[in-house]
Amino acid sequence: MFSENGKISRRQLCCLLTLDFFGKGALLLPAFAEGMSGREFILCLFPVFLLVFAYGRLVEKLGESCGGDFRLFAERKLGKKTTDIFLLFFFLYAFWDLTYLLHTFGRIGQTFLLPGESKEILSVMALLAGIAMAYRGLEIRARTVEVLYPLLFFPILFLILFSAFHQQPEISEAMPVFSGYRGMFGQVLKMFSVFGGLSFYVFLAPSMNRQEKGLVRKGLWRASAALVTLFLLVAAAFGEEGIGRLPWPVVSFMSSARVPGGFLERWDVIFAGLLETMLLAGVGSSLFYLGIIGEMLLHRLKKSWLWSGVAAAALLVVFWCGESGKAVELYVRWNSFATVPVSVAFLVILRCIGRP
Amino acid sequence: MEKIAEKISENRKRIEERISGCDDILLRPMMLGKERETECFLIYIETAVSNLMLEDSVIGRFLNELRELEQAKLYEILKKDALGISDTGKLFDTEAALAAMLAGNAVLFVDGLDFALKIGSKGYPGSGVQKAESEKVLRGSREAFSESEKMNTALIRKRIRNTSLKVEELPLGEISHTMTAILYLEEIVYPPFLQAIRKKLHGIQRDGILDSGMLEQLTEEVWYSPFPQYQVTERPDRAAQALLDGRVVVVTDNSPEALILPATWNTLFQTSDDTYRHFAIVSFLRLIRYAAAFLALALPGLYVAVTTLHPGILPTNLLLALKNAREDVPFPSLLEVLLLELAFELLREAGLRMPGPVGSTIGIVGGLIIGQAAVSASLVSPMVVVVVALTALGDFAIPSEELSEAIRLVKYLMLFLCAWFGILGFFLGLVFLLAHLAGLKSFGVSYLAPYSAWKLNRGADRKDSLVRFPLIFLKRRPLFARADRRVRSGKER
Repeated sequence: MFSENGKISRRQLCCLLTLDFFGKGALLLPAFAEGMSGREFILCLFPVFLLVFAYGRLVEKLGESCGGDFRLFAERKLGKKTTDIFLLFFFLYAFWDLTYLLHTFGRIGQTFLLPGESKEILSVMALLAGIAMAYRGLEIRARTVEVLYPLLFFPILFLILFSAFHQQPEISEAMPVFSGYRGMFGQVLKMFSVFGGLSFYVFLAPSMNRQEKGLVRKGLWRASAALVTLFLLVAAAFGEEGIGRLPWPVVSFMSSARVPGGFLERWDVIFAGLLETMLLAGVGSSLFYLGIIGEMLLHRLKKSWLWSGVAAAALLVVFWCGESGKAVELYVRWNSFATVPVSVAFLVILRCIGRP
Repeated sequence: MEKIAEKISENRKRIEERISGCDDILLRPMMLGKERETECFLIYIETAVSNLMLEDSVIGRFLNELRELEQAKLYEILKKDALGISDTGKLFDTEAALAAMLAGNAVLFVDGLDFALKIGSKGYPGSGVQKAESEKVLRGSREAFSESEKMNTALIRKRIRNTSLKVEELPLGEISHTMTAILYLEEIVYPPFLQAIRKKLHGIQRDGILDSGMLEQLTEEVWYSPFPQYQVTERPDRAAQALLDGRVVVVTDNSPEALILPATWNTLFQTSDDTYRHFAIVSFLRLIRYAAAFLALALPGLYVAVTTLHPGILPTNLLLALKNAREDVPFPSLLEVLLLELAFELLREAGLRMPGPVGSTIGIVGGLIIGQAAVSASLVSPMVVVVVALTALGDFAIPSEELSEAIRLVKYLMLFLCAWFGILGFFLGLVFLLAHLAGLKSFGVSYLAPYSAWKLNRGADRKDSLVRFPLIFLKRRPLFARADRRVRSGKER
């Protein structure tokens, strides 16, 4: 009747994008800041977001012009085999994204919330939550995120605000040397890969109302504004060197929050819980796209088998990663230097040759 | 299907065969006409049509009139149904005659006629209009549904005096033939939605439907979900309001609860007097209800999470107080909470099953004595008693009994998740719960509407959700109604 038309609303898309990118950005971006000064990191953020907006505009236009079925559109322009190869890159991006998110979820959970718990168990729970959100389709995922959005995003914004008034810098080591613009360029590309999931918007375009324009930009505006504010505050709190020294400076930042009239002694537990839940939105996204791209590539495989295979493979990689070094390395090598550049190139080419 | 025969002996033989062994069904032979030459018989259920009623009632006067007529005139009157008696009808086959008799009417067979005549009577004994017990309000009608489908539809008709209110009756249950009525406002209801309901009800294959609860379980889309996909009400005004919103009401005979569909999470937090009171009061109370639902769902789990896994977030004084209170308690927090929660469930169940005054006494005695004794014996800490009491209060404050039962159940899952994963367990539980609710639909309407459809219907639904806007601003019907009938103004007719 009202809700079985396979469409999602503009608001739902905005919520999906905001939660997905804010969660990932807040926790994953600082991983690329290791060795960088706070100044460099903040400076890198601006070209990253410029690139993100430009890329967002490109995928928006591509989504509008592909006429409802992205795969058919790509096959018409580039041929079936080429399209399948590019879809494979999309698939791999989503897969490495998923494994990194699961790994990060487990590590942050263990570090800040449950020191005695196994991070692998936490990763399994995150995977189950992602499956619960994404398995039954886009509409259910969108509805879940739309309801979660005010419960997560606004409390986080308030906590950030309160933290800003009570920051207590703790790190005082030698300031890293400015690495130069060439070094920054590499960092910008690596940080952009966190937002490589924008490419998947082309798969969502058929579910949007064709009359609506600028659907991606609103979500990107919110996420990027919140992230820039957050990182500016974190840089102010921990100074030039702090942002590159701490593994998750954003969560450490929240440990100093004091809510006026507040009851709790510490808020970092709540903040970490909120951020981890945002990561779940990212896990759900990755699983969803793995599902639809997997169905495109392996259409003879039953959905339950596909999802089980993907889940098992992701967990195996997470368990194999162990400590974060391997997980970051995998993510950087595969996504930052391979899948994201190829996916971006694919969509740029399609946009160029698909232009009327 | 056996047609009614013109020869009365044949009809009588068939009827006697069918009702043999039914000592509560009476077959009363009589002779009609001035000369007493026309043979006939009346069949009826003894308690539905008392002997007294036959002599001094519509049926009695009807028969007396027929006794005074010439035979030719008698047949003419009966064929034309010209006596002007209300609620009579012709029945042309034996099954229809028996069904009419079993519905509480008297059925007259006359020799020489190929039809039987149904004569309406007062029907089965019932309890009459009741006072609302489980949906008490501070303002508004105190009437509640009774167990008669006819009475209940009349109570709704009393509130919506319009021929657009349609009542479709259908018997459900292959053996019980329980009369069920579908009520809707023809000009407002969304037609595909009505068709879906009809299809569901007609598709029921069951020997007997004894209550609306059975109907609910046999027609809901997601059978494994504990969350109610129908709204249940005992109040006619609630049902009338739902009809004006474009929803459908299903009334089942022998059941004092009507079903309202579709139902969403939002509608389950609304009460009938929300429309009768000032918007500020209602908005405040709605927030209280949502807070109550949160307490009922999450308080025990959060208590265990914070005391076991995240004690550092509590203020030092409170932490010390908790530690002192739990010093002699041998059980971990999880077990403490579980013990007390289960004890409370036992008390609640025992209180329900015990008769009248004993039942309410059990609640007070159990709560005070058992709770106090458990604390004194250091089986549980005082804080846990407070937590469980608050949880129970939260549960009782939820307007929908069915929703509060579902939350009572889900609370235990949340408790285990929080015990294992702390605050993260709470968030994980929240995500699982929302993902489940997001997948629920009530006849195609998303269960989480309007929270998951914020801008649908031009945002009208959110004006009556977490808070209620003033009535003068609630000009549009909810999204259940037909798209071209969403405006409430009387000018639409």
